[in-house]
Amino acid sequence: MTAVVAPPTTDGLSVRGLSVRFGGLVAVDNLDLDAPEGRLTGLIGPNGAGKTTTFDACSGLNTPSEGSVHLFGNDVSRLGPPARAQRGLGRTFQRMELFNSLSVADNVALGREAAMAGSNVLRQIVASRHEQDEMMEAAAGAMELCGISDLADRRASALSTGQRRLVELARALAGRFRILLLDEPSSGLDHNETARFGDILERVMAERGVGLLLVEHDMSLVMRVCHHVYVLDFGKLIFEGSTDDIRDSEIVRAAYLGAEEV
Amino acid sequence: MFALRGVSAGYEGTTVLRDVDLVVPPSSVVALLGPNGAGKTTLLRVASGLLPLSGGELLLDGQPVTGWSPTKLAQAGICHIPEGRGVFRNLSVKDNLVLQAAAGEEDDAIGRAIEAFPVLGRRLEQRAGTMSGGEQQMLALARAYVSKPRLVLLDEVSMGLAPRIVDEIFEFLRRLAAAGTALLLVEQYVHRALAESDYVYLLHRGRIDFAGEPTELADEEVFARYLGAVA
Amino acid sequence: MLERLARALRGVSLAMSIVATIGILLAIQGVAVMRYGPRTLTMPAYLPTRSIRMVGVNVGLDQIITFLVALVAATGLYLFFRYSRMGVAMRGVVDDPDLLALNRVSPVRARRWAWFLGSSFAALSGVLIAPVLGLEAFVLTLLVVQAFGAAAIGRFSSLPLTYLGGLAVGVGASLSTKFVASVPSLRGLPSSFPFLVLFVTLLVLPRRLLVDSGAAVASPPPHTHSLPPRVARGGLVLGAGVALLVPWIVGARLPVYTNAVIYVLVFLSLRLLVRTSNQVSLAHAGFAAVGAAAFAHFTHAGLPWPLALLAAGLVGVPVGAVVAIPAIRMSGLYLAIATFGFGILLEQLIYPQSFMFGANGSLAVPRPHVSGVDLASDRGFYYVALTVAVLASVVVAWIHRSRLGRLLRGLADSPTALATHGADTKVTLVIVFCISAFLAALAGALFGALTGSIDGTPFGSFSSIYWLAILAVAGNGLIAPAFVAGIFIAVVPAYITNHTIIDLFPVMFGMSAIGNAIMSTRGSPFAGWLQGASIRSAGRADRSPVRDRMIIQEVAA
Repeated sequence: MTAVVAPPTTDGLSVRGLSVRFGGLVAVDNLDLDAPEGRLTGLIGPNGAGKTTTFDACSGLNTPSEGSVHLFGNDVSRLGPPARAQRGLGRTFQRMELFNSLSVADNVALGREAAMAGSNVLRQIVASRHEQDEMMEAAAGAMELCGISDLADRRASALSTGQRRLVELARALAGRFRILLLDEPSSGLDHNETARFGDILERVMAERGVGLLLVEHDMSLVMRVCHHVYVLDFGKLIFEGSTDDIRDSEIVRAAYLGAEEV
Repeated sequence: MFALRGVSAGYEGTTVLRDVDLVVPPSSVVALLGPNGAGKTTLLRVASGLLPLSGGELLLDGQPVTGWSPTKLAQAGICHIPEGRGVFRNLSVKDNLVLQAAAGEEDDAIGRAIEAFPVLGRRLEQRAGTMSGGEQQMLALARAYVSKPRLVLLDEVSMGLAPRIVDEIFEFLRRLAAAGTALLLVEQYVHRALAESDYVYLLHRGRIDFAGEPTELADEEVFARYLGAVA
Repeated sequence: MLERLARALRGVSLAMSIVATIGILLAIQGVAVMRYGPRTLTMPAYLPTRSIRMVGVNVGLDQIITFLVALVAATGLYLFFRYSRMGVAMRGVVDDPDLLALNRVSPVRARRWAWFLGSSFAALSGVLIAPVLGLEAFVLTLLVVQAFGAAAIGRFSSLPLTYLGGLAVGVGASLSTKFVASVPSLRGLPSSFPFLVLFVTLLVLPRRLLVDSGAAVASPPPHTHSLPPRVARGGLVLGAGVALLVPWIVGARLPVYTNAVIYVLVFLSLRLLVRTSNQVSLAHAGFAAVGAAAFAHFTHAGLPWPLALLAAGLVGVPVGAVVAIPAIRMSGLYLAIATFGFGILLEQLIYPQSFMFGANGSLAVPRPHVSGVDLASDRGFYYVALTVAVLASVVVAWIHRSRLGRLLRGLADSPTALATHGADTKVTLVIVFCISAFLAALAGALFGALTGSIDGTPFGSFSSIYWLAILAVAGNGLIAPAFVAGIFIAVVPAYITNHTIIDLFPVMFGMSAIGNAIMSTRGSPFAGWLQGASIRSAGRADRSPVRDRMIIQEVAA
């Protein structure tokens, strides 16, 4: 019997039958996942479950051995990272990939500017006045939303981990992406910072209506903000449902705490 | 026997561990639990000398060993099996075992490793990185037996492994503990860890939240801590 | 000693670690030249030279002995790495030094052994080769680059494959000698064959083999300290004044200054590539040579002087684009080796062609002629060169403030982030290499016009190395270091008559390049001192146009 797989969603990111292998290791195993616009989707699971590998496959940073990635109904499996970004998919990184020698303002502005530059030689060299204005506006708005406007002049490398996480989020928000992948945005943050980060995510959802796919270890954050959660273990999807379902699920409990001794 | 006293540590400006006290008595099994990002791996790296302390001290048999190099601490009998696969991926299984052994005891070491994990015997010439995750972990763990340490620091040794293999690995740890080797166990399978250990420490955001015996810790409480219901 | 240096260099940005390596090379070479002079020392053939006949070919006994010694050495090395504990540890330290420490083997000791063995084998090969090639520091260095070709064939890990690769490269080069006899235009092929092998192998090797393990380590950003605006402006005015007055002060030494001004173009070009974008090119002398040759041809074809200059620069562009290909595929040391290999390839295979420097290997190059204005005299031409250099400085400064500048700095910090935000970094890389090659080609053309005729000698592939080292020493700013470096390389030697000191120059540059690279993680004390003069800007990033505009918008709102 073959499982019935829903067709890829047309209003966001869809992953169908995705498998990623590294040598003999199957990091992601036949995964189906949807992250539509307007929903805050969680992706959780124990260490080594394949969450970041899934992100990398979505944004085109690794080569899946099987399966496809769709954005708004189009198959983007063969496109490189820049082309996927151009189609509305943005992301942050667990080991933050900031432009360390640039100021916060330049970091955030580059989030928009990189997309404007694209692969066109001329547009990589000069920015039109109109684009400049748009870029500034996007950067100012994103910094405002993340509450880091007062850091604009600081060099990115001189900030604390919590501030750097916010800069990376602001950079992705300035990019006007329709779907954002956030990879462990709360790691390295303390309690207050994590709570504030949750507030910001909720504001982003309310103001921008984007789709967020959140990989996160801090379960309090996931339980608080996510609408729908996928649980991975050994690269396989073992559960999906609402946060209440997760709390009650024996499967999830077993995956996190280990099966009872038999 | 081995103790961390008031230890603080971190990376490039971020403090991960804050004023941590932890004791591993001789021949005991200590479980170190806590959600991700709590600082468990950092604590083990500090204990094996891979990461310098920014405050506090390390004690071995009551003597300060703060600032010792990882090589020297390893020679003093502290064996750290790091997170991920603690093997030289580009070396053969045999070469890995040679490095695990003390000088002059290579052949003996290979024999002991095969005795502990028979599957390694069939893989001696294979490149370690091409073995399955479980086999790589067994090879990494072989060091805890081959090098005859006094204390083994184990960082998520069951991570990403199939339950059957996890069983085998825990069986191995049990034998190790029975032979009198002290274990400091960082483990995501909370139940298994609690079942094996004499003492438990809960680490949360770099601080020790709880220290005591496993029976003092209710199952629900641990789960709640992990899921963040209790801050 | 080298092990200690290698440790000090951990965590340094890729471009800077290359600079340091180059520094070591220059320093050691410099010492060798000082000690033994630049000429080739011939070494008496200490092995019997009698030849015997084998399968119809005359083979010298010395060659057979060399072959056997190499074979024994390689086998010994193979056995050592395979069976001895230290050999295994040395392979382990490459995999994971921390894990080695946990295994009770000190990684420092393993590395020290690696350096010791490496140096001994290098010395042994030197002894074997000396009777054949003679002892000359430059030739022997080239040999090392050739050896990288063999190592690349062995995928940098397999010893037997490397040995076979070495043999194949040698045999291939000899065979090509026969082949070339019938095709005279390829007479550079035999000597450049190893570099061809190196360049091609690096291009076809799977990408994952070519990613420096160091690349995974987040390198601390280079500290660029900006001067307080008032000091900068004052310096600019003063510099401009001095530059304009130079022809009236220095007398007969003027061409030296013109030369320095031309070098400004070279250093601007390198600055953009190395400092701004964290890339490496050791093919810059090649770009300059192409520009010089193209310029000579264009002026001979009757193109007006300024147009010919521009066209010469443009000819450099496609050459730059070729070098961008390895930059897309690899980084760090591999990129340095590949571009150096490419530079040598150009020098040996392309320079001798008649379409480069003519059938005689030398072409006349005119200076500009405009009736009524004196541009062709030394004084006139100085101003021509100065104008071009100033224009180029303005362009580079503009690039830095433009979108491209931001993309390039982003590229240096995180290519991944740039790509996942929608910018195609391959395009960015090609653009920066093209611009860089354009500037270098312009410089080549002006060199020609300065000396009146041009040939391949000033563009030896080692110049690229020398230039990069000098740039590393010249400071952290954007434009000023290019001028400082130009003065270093062209003017200072002209005032020093003592040859020992001139010979010392490469050593000094080499040493300071190493020091500078190590300091780049900590910020140099000198720059720190300057920083103290402007506490206001402490902890702040370079002032950016983006920010300026934002402030304007805020004020307007």
